Amino acid sequence: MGESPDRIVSTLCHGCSYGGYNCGILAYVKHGKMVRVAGNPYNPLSEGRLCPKGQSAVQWVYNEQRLKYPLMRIGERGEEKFKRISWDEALNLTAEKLRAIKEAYGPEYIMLSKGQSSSWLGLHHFLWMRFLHGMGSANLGWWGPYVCYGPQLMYHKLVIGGPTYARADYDNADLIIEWFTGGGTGGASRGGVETTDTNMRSVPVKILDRLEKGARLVIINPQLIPIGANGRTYKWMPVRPGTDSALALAMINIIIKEGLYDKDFVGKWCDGFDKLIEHVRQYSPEEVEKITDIPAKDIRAVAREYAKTKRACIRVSESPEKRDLQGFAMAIPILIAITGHLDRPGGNVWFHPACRLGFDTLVKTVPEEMKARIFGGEKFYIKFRGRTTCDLTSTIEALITGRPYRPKAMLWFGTNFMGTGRNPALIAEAVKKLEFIVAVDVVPTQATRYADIILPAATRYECDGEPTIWQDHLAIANKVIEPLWEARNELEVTLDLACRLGMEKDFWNGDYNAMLEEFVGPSGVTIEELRASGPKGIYVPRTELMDKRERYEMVFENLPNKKVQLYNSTLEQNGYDAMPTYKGEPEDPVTTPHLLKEYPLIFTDEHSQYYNHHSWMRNVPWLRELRKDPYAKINPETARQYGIADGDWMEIESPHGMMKAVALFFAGLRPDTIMGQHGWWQGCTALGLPEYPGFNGGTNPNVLYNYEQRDPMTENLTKNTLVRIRKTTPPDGVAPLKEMM
Amino acid sequence: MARYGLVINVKRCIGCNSCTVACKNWHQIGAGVEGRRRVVDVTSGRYPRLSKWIFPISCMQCDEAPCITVCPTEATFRRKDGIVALDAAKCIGCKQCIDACPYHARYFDEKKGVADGCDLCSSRIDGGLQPYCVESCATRAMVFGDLSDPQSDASRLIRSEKGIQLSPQKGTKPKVYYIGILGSALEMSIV
Ligand code: SF4
Ligand code: SF4
Ligand code: SF4
Ligand code: SF4
Repeated sequence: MGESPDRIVSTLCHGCSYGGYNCGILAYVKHGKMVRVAGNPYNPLSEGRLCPKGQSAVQWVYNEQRLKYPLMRIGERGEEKFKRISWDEALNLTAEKLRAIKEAYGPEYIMLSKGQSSSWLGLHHFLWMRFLHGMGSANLGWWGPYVCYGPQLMYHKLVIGGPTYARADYDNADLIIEWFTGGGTGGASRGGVETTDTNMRSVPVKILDRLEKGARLVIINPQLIPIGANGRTYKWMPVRPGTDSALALAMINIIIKEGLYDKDFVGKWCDGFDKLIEHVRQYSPEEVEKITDIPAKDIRAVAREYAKTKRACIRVSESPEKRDLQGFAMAIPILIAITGHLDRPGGNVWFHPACRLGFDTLVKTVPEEMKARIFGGEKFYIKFRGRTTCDLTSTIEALITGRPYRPKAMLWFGTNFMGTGRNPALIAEAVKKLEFIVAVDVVPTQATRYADIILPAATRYECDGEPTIWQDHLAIANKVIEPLWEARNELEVTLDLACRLGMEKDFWNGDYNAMLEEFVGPSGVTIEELRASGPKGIYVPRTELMDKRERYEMVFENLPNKKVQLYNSTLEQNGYDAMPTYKGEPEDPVTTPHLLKEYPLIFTDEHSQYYNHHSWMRNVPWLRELRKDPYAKINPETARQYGIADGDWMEIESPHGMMKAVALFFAGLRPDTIMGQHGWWQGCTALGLPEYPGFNGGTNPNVLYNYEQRDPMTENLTKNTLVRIRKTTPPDGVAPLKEMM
Repeated sequence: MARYGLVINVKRCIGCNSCTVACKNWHQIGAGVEGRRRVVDVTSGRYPRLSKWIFPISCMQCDEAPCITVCPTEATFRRKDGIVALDAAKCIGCKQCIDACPYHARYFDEKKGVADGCDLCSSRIDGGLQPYCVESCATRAMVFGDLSDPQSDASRLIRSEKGIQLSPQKGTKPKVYYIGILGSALEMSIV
């Protein structure tokens, strides 16, 4: 290149799931400006690859839509009148308010919520828990359990134990089943949802590498996902949305009936097999064909092939069913276990990092009576987690009804309640009842409009960021440039606030580096060493445990009899189903056929695509120009029946609400299904695209879903419904808050 | 002398457009213009029996390049290593190269008033690097190399995987080869 950079800084991407170990980035700086990025070839997770979000880092940083200064509300809540204030004013005011609420009511009246955008299981997560616990509250809540991947984990733990998910061991698999995943579209160079435990260095690359060696790819999804394009699909099963658990149960039935299960494993490591045999008998392939719309012979074929292939893995991402979460989330681990694919090469395997970074979150200092006051503390999954997080739907109800008590203050870190939460109008009504809201984010969101104090967060590229580990590799996100405008590192802000609240003793006396040192401590490496290691990072010694398989004694340790629970007595004792049952979603063609006359089409939404992350990043021009409009995919043959052309705005109406979306023709989608995507609201100033409303009549799929019927144990909210469609005009744009700009 | 070309392994492409954005990032090409790279999606057939092909397209680096022939100022020229490049300082914005290209591989940058297209990141190649999109592709779907060297990875792949060119009948002799794709799917992308 003509101009050479002044320096090249090794850092980590801020594109998806910030806080964990992200793709390695080399940022080029010229005259103090970040001018371009390149992939870091030394990063063992990404090996120099980047997805479009990573490639766009520069436009994410230098984005005119960012929050630039601390703001304070001056009008009524929701009236959207703000004025600029100084950081000092903002933090003093926040500290004063929090202290007053704690004294007047008690610490549990203060809540903290964070989104995936700001942190997921990294240092941010630890620090914010410590902050909340330091205040004496345990009311930590986030939307993940309602819209995301996470809640399945409880069921997996109940069935097969383990520290976390047993993940697809692509590297060794001969048969790969991608079950309602995006095939890595969420983070194409890294791969979907990630935590420090995963092997999903890169879902697409791993799958492709394996396919080149002759592995077969099965896709179970109402649409053909991109990884299945270009002749790569061995078998595509376009299951009717809302019925995946029936499909999984039929597979279990066939495998048992035909004696294809792993008899040694079942005999030695499983409890309740006899009861399972009885239970799944009702799921005959012929019956299940009627439910799932997958021919019985195909169900048989895939069941046989999965059971007979020694090295076969299943990846699930977000669960396709939410109301019927139990059915799906229990059937999958049972399927994996009885076929002997658990913790064996090429199957589903537990991946362990060489060590876990972190520090004490002070959870033990929260008195039991405070934990008992947690919102939704009586719910099974809250108890299952030891009452260390609250239930958000219970919180919304508490805000509306005042029962059992109404929280007073909330701190929001990188979370867009109205964009990602179901029933956005109810959420808006609820948060209006709060006395005090602080929202910290990189960009203004639908939610920040309701805040009292808005604080501009710096992007990862502007922070002396946190150390992270993936398997045995330690990396650190180094600062590329100084924070722009008045943005500040959220971690520093939290420390600062903790000190202003008199908690400096528990917060390293505000010493940022001391905090980093403690966090990285378990690795035996110091921050200085890590920073000095440059793009290469540091490898720590692998543990024996990491590379072992069939670690059943360890992973089943906390299960009754230390065995896989095919029949779950824990659940039975709590009054729940002991085995997975197909129940259907609140509205779908099988459960509510009477609705089909008025609402003839199925609606669901896909979690991820290449160009954004949840409700983030639609403001990045390079990304937005690749997909400009809030979209819903539709089969062209279906569209034609409604006189809808590719690119037309459609009105999509369910029994619960209406949204608008642009028709995106896709012949690889079931003709009875409309596939939307959540997170569309933001405008893109650089491309002249307006912000869209997030409530009824806007572009938010969350208004379409049933809010009342939930998975009984996790409170999961459905993402399936029935709709009717027609051609329409675009929604009116929403004017951005000019004070924020 | 080297004769540089590109092999695109369609079997590995997931249509993520990382290369599209990579190119804009590396070459600092703003949003709102087409850019040097695009990803096409050719879906044909009817549900559920359909074929879906996704793959990238950029300048084919033709050995017989009409863009060079029509350029009145020699702004578009061939380097010694065979790369078709463009000297923006000499470009008068007549758009003749854009019209002459059978692959719609060039675009016009309204702001700068010049034509532009992929030059295989020639400045990186001069520095001993790979083209940036090749290096950072989300799936390592592309291989860059010297086609005059029969032992280069690119040449080997073209031989062993029977690499094909897009619309060879146009007679421009592209140095970009595709593997793992049917010629018919490839053709459909430029109609
Ligand atoms: S997958 Fe994409 S967004 Fe996620 S960390 Fe990698 S480059 Fe960034
Ligand atoms: S970056 Fe690679 S995988 Fe993605 S579209 Fe380009 S060539 Fe295909
Ligand atoms: S593809 Fe078009 S621009 Fe590129 S060399 Fe051939 S004719 Fe010229
Ligand atoms: S080779 Fe270079 S110029 Fe050509 S498309 Fe790739 S990044 Fe752009």
